[in-house]
Amino acid sequence: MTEATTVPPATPPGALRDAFRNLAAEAFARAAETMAFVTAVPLDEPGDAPPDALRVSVRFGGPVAGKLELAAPEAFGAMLAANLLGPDGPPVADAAVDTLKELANVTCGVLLPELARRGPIGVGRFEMGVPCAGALGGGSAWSDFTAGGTVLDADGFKVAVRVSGAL
Amino acid sequence: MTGTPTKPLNVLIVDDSAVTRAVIRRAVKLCGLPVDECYEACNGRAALDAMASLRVDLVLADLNMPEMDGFEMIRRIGDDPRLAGTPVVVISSEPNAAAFAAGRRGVRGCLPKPFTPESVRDVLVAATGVARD
Repeated sequence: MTEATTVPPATPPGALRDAFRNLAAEAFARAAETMAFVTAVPLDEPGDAPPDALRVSVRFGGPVAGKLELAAPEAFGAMLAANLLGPDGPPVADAAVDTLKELANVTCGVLLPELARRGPIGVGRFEMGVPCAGALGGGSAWSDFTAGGTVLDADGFKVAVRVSGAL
Repeated sequence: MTGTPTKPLNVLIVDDSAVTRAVIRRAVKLCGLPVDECYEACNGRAALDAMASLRVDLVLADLNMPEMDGFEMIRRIGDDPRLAGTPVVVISSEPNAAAFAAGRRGVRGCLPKPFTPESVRDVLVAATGVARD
């Protein structure tokens, strides 16, 4: 897990992006741990794309505007749903996608106050949108996604997290 | 709602995530409060439609939802004389949830996501003032 990140003012743009990337990874790890008892550890290399990868995004606005995005295999969402619902839980339609969207929602909610607190963007009111999910796509989609984000091992599943927008 | 025995509560859970509704439902059932029915709605509009015909004693509401969000739903509950007395607890990842809840008549508590079952119990007990079974 990365150390707590604080960004001083007058920071070069590249360092700013790295700081936000670290904050996004920290937010995801905290959300996954508290929400579904999943431990997420950053990987050094993105490697190959996981099978059946989905892209989930949550837009936000306020002092800065952007998107929090996750790229994760649908099987990861299924595992999270099973953790949340338990062995005797009710059947839920599209539980895997539902849970990935909720994880993105929770991650964004954890991230935004940290952006305000530890990033050089000042105090302001953030607003979040509703999560959207779709296929990540093949080809270079995974490498393009991970180039601007962090790839983590989440209980054996490869998950990528990134923040994009006017940062 | 304090002190004397009370009839079991009908609870309405409002969240666009079906999995989250199921998790909250389980936490509500396990929290020790006298709960009769647990209704569910996937957005604010569906919740208001349900409240038009069902007796609801407590609303547990997300804020960021499609079609009608929790902000608008809670405003409409407060503006409707038939519904204005229904207590609401906000359960949301929205960064402004606590500030919204603190200034809103009828909102009895705010629980940030991610939450634990114990925190659901604690906020429900505080919001309803009802003793646990």
